[in-house]
Amino acid sequence: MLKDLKILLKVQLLRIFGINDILHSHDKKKKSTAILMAFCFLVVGATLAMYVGMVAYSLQMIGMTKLIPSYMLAITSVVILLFTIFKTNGMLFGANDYELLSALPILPKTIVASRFLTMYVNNLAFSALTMIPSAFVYVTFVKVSLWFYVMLILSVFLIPLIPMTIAAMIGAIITAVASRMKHKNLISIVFTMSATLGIMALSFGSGNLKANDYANLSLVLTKQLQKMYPLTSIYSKAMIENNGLSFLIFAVLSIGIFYLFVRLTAWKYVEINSALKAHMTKSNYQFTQLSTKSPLKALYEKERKRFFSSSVYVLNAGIGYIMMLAMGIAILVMGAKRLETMLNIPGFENVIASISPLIIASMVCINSTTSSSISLEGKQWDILLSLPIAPKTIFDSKILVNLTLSIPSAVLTSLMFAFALPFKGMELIWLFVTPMVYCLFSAVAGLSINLKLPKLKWDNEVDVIKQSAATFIFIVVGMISVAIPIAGFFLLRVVSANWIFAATTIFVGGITLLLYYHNMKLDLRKIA
Amino acid sequence: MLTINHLSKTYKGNKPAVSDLSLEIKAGDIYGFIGHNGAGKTTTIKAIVGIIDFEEGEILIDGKSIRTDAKDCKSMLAYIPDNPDLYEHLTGIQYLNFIGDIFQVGKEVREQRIKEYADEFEITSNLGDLISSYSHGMKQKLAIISALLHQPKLLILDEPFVGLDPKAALTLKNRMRQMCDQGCAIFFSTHVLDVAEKLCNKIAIIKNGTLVYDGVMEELTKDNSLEEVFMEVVSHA
Repeated sequence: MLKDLKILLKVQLLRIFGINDILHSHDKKKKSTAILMAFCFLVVGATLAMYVGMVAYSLQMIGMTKLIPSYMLAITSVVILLFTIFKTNGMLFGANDYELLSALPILPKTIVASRFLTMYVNNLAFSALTMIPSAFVYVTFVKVSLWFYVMLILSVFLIPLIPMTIAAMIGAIITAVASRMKHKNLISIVFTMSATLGIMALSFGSGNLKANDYANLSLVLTKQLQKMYPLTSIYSKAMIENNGLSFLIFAVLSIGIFYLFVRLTAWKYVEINSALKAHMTKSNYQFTQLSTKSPLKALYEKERKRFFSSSVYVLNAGIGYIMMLAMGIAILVMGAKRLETMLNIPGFENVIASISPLIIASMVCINSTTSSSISLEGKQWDILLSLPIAPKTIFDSKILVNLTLSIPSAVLTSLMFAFALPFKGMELIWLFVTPMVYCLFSAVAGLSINLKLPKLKWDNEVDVIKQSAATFIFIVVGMISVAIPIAGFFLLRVVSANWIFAATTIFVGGITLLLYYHNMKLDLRKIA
Repeated sequence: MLTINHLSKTYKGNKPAVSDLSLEIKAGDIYGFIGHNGAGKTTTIKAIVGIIDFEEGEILIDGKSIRTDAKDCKSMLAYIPDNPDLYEHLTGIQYLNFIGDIFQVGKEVREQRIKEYADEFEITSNLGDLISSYSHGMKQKLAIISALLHQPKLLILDEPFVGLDPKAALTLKNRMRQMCDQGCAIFFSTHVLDVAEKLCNKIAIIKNGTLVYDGVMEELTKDNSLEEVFMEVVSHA
């Protein structure tokens, strides 16, 4: 099994990280894309490490140094859990190479383990980037033994296992249930979204801090972290008290749960995949009247159906809009003050009231359907190129699908904010205009980035929706586009927020127009 | 109808895929395009239909350049790729309607043609099912119907008979002859030399990106079968 596992893992990693493109492609563009991707990973990794270090340092400043290891474990685990749920369907099940692998003399458990470990490698980097910088801060202020460092290194490898297994289990159950139903994708989308929101509510909304609790914040936070991720107490005991037995329990639990999952999934793997590949066919079509549409509307319909036909696409490219609406509902129903208490973020109410347009904009920029819409054409890209359609019509159809999702979500969220918080005059205008301009920016910038970095050859939708250079760079660009005005707001206290919103809106709108007209000049035959 | 002048195409970092290729396909021609795997057939076809760019030469469709008047050129042609990778998230009828919308085929004409072709290729009952549930042959039939929908002046096919059952292959051949009689020009690549010999009035043979023969089928196969001639031509060219 181990030999097969090694071979499968190697093939999958070569595909995911584009290593073969770097080594064997004669195409300079592919090589430069890979280098750009590596550079972006480094920048994001360094930013994440710095951020984690700052959070750990903040904990030390308020006298909660001993909370650092368990705090980081809880946050890392919950983030890995949330991000893995969205991948499971595409990575574990329903991949294009399922039939190819099934015909080979490889055990299902080897296939499951190889797929799981491919996801694991991705999460390992995240685990290292959170645990090591925070530990660096910890050891600066607390004297530790050599055993601490050994446990730290081992825990970087162990931490992703349990959250990934739980996420994969949730994903596998949802996939198994959905695969037996007629509307597989819809069921999968609804269940996965509900599970994600449920986990978020349980993890982050578990505390109801009362005013007098602040006096004993350390104890309250410890309790909250335990509620958020029960293993924190064992891990904390291992790392802080140098307790080898606790660490052993943590390690055995991590590996044991993972092993059990692989065995269980392997047992039903063929059945689930067969059900997913099976199609409901009626073969009883009767001609009815056909409706005619303009080319733009026809392309828009095709694009819209493409989006909703894939649960991976909906869950990953639509999560920002759901989160945005959830945030709007939370603000409207509970009020900013109560949310501040629940989330334990001092000053949350003031901040959210001051920079609402940018907060909504940041949610708009979390994802974009367009950043993978060209890549998702995949083998069908040739159909579009052979048809008598101007590139503008193709681009517009993709942008319109994105706007169909983003603009109503942004307007509704702005409305909920407007009812919940005291805005006046120009503030109210920017509350609606700025997020709308960001919706346009997100759609056009996503498309531009994907046109620059298309990936038309893929085996698995997750490769382009979640792990492609285009998606990754879009997120970085989106975050920068919001981070700069937010930084401006905090740094330029003398300048009115309205001026910052106005400048941002005009600048982002201008960039959007430039990108839109630049795209029109592209020769589609040259982009692949 | 289709004029290719000195076409050359090189993929990044590789040797030339097509070198200085010139061809003239007239209305009423059924032009077969044969050659070994990797000889440059698909590259030539993709350049004709505007999927890939090329460094040198020009491709004219009814006098218009695929480079400068791409939309007009594509309105006149239909292309059936070697692998029918269609939009799997659509049903068969949705796909045909999509193609009808893109080519702006009128409602009545569209309905009448879809009925006629779908019945002919025996796929009518499956039109309401998702394309992802189709077999390779069914996808190929759907691709053929979609290509016929706007009655193109130029039909470009890459290995059109792969995956088709014998009856569908015969139906396609009859359709091709009928379209040819009505003044359409057909250019198709194939490895099935028997079909090419019986169906085509003209033939082009490509080897390592270079055209080694083009001319009238009857003249080429006067004394020998196309298979024998092909082997002779490619081994000595």
